This record gives sequence, C-alpha cells and structure tokens, in this order.
Amino acid sequence: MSPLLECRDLVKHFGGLAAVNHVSFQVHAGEIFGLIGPNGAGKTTLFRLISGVHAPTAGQILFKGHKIAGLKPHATCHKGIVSTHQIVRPFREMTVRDNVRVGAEFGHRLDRDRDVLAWTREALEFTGLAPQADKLSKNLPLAGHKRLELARALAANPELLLLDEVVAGLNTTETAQTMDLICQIRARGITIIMVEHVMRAIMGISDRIMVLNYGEKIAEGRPREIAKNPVVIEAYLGKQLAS
Amino acid sequence: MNRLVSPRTLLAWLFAICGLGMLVMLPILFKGSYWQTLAFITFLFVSLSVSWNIPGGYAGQVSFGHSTFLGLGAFTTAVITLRTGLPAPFTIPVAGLLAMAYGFLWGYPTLRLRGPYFSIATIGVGEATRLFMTNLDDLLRSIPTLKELVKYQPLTGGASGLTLRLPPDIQSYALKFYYVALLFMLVVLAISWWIRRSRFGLALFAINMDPDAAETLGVSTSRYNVLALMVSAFLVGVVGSLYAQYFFFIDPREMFSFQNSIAMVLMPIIGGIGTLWGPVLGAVVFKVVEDRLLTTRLEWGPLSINFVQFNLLLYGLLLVLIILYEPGGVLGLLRRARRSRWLARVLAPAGQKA
Repeated sequence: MSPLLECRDLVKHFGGLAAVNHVSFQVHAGEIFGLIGPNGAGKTTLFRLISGVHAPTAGQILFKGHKIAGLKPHATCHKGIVSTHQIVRPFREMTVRDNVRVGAEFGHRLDRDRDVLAWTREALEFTGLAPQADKLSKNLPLAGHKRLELARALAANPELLLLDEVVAGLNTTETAQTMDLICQIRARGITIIMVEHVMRAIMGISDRIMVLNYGEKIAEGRPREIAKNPVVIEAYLGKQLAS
Repeated sequence: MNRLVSPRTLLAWLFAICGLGMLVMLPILFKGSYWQTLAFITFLFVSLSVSWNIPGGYAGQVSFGHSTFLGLGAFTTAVITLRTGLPAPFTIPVAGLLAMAYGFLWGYPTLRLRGPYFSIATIGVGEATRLFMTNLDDLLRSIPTLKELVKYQPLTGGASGLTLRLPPDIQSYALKFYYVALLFMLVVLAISWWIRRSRFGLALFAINMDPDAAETLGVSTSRYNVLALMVSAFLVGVVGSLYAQYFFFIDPREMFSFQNSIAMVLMPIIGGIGTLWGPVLGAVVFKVVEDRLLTTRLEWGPLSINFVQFNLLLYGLLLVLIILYEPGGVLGLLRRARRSRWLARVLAPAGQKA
C-alpha cells in the first residue's frame, strides 16, 4: 500500500541552524502517527514544512503521490492537509460559528455544492461547541479554544490532520475528552499526525511514534518499543539516568 | 418567532427613509446653494471612505496610496473627453477599470507585505505616482518617439492641470450630478453591505483577525487581499471621474496628493473602522469639520487667525485620541453611550423607570 504522506530526506535550515535534518518517514491512511521529542527538536518546524508555512531547504514531501513541498498553506489545505495551531489562534471578534464557517467555506472541498451551513453545524455538534456557537470566540475558555481549533480544522474537511499539542494546558478530564474526540475523528477515516508532550496521552492513542532530537529522527516504532528504547530515554532524561 | 418586524428595525428604516428623503429634497429647497455643493462633495467623500474601508477596514490592509486611484480616475475622464470629445459619462467605467488595473499592478507585490510594512510601501507608491504624473508631460516631451503625444495638448497638464469644457447650463448640470453622486454613494454602500455578509467578506475578516490561521483553513490571503483592493480601486476611480466632471479642473499635484490618501484613512478611523456605517459617519464629521475650519476666521484685536493651517493638526490630535481611548471611533462612542446606564435611565419612558 502506498503511503498517504511521505517525507524524503527533509531538511530545513534557519540560518546556520538545521531545525530539521534529513528526516524521512511515511504515514499510512487511517493511522494516528505520534511525533515526540524534547523542546526544540523540530516537531513544529516539521509540521510547518508539511502544511506549507515554510518551504523545505531540501528534500521532498509527497501527499497521495503528488509533490507538495513549497505549496502555500491554503493550497495544501485545498489538497486535504489541515493543521491546528499550538498556540490557539481563533478569529477573536467572530462568533464561534463563523470561525468554523471559514473552514467550511474555504477548506478542502470534494464537491462544489456542499452545503456550507450544514457542514458547519455538523462540525460544531461533533466537537460539542454547538451550545456556544453564537458567542464571540474571544469569550471562550482555553478548553473551548482548543476545541474550536479542532472544529475549524474538521470543517475544512481534512484527509490528513496535523494536531500540534491539542491537550497542552488542559486538565485531566478535558484531556480525556479530547483524546476521545481524536479517536472519533480517526474513526471517520481521517489520518492524524500529532505532536504532544503529554506522554500518557500520546502513548495510549498512537499507532506509531517517531522521535526527533536536535532536528534528527532518532527512533520510530510502536509506542511500547519507543518507551523502552534507550536512545529515546537518553534524549529525554540524559545519559546518567538512562543507564 | 414573531413575524412582524421589530419596532427597532422599523424605526431604523423610518430614519433612513426620512434622511434619504431630506437629501433628495435638499437641492430643491436650497437650489444651487452652498449646501448643495457641500452635500455633493460629502457624498463623494462618503463613497471614498466606504470604498477604502473594504480592504482597509474589513481586511485590515491600511493603504496610504488610495489617491493614486482617485487621480487616475479623474485624469482618465479628463484626457478621454478632451482628446476624443466623447461625452464624459461614458468614460466612467473606463476610469474605474483603469484604476482597478493599477490597483492590481501595485497591490499584487505590496500586499505580500504585512501590517505596517504594507502601509509604508503604499506611501511610496502614492508619492511615486504623484511625482510621475506631475512630470509626465515633461518626460514625454524629452523622448523623441513619444513627443507627438503631447504636441498639441498636455496629458496631465503638469503643474498647471487640465481644464474641461464647461456645459452651457451649469445649474441643471450640477443638479444632475448631485443625484448621480447620491445614487453612487448608495451603490457603494450596498456593495459594502453585501461584501460584509458574503463569503468574500468572511475571508477578509478572517485575514484581518489572523492571516496565518486563515491560510491554514484554505483562505488564499494574497488573492482576497488583492481582490479587495481592486474592488476599492474601481470605486475610488469612479469617484475621481465624477470629481473631474463636476469641478472641470484637475491638477495632478492635488488629485494624487498625500492629503487625499490621508483623508481616506482618517475618515473610516474617525467613524469606526471595519464597520458598515462608521466610514459614513467619519466622512460626514470629516467634511463638516474641514468645512468649518476652512471658513472660520478668528478676529482677536489686531490678530486674525486663519484656521486652514490647523486642519491637519486637529486631525492628528483626533487620531491620537481615537486610537488611545476609543478605537471604535464615533460609532464606538455611540455604542458606549447606548450601553451606559445613566443614559438609558434618562432616555427611558417615564412609566418604565424602576
């Protein structure tokens, strides 16, 4: 089976710093692919390369077999790659509904006559934001903002969803709810790549995990293998504790 | 729930219709008066303000280069009518389209810049255009192959401007233009209103609030920004054309002036940037204040102060106050007044006082 997303030998330099250094991996349709690593490992940069915020210095990104490296974010969105933001970025002066409507109106559309309003309503209900739909989004609490990021992204009809720390800052109950939501999203056939610092969350939910450190890929495998991998433990905790 | 229109909307419509009726009646009541001219020029400035607000207020792309469209529209009409003898009204669409094309030409590269960087670039575009247009005749005369273009007639008139032929009956001509300007202002308002509720408007507001988030959700920020600027440029170009047709004399130094660009930025900000009615209010306040300032003279013993010089000073002061205390402009102030409990109590009908 050919992969949904394939990155080949991806490199991104910021000046003299290699934020992503020769990283290759494949993500298959229907997977939840976890991406972890210490702070500054290059996770967010990798996301930005895939979604088109940055163009890679070298290497190739293939989505469903087509080259997408260098496309602008709106173009990758139209192809079906939608990302959420690590720090929530709502359209503050719009209602929650209009925020979601932006995704439905301009996102990835398979058929042109899709009913935008029905699609918006559906995304609001799915994420449980329907009761707050008429509030201005700036008045939502943090958990609501995180949900709004998800709702907007879903309204854009993604095939591949890039989730950047969707549970950071949430309490235990909210985290559990969000994880449940992510499983439901996957059940709809949407492939997910997620960056997360909350280990319990990502270990329990991912099919496979890739570990980055200083911009390089140091491990890839099932969560169980990753947790035992001495190289990974060393990267996180330092040499002494690892031995 | 209730099929009847709420009394509030009814009242708003009543006000609107009365206001419009008064504007329609004004030239009949004060025929050919100073008020008619003031109202006419205010219509044009309301149109400018509302047009500027589409990219400037909705999408948040603050342009200091809008006088380029005004000037281009005016000169398109002047040059075509002077050279071909075509009736001036026929040149209106050409003026709009040319301004729109120019909007695309400088908007496409400059809109890649964000926020203040875009604004600064537009100042450059505006000034470069003004200088180019002022010196265009001299430039053409110096090029042997293009000399023929300005042999019998100037193109922009350089420092002396262009004068159009006057119509025989100037009174009825002015009256006709009064209604044309009024109608055009309503059209511009309708366009602005329609954009607010459309998909296009949703894209512009999203870009204004967070361009990066808009991009990730599939909004092509550069495309919608350029489109908004082009719509605005077309409308401003038409205003330029109307201006030339009404005043018969245009000077490149004035039409393309930085002052005109500043006026288009100030009016929506004074009234309430990014709203539907704010730019209208702002333009009216701006024109009335300007008119009072230009005609008032303070006599104080041997001292006689002319207020013309204080024009920009006052706007500067106003701008600082607005940005510091009420970014919503006059409209924001009104909203605040409506919310205030004190005023509500004063205005409440006697029986409802708790």
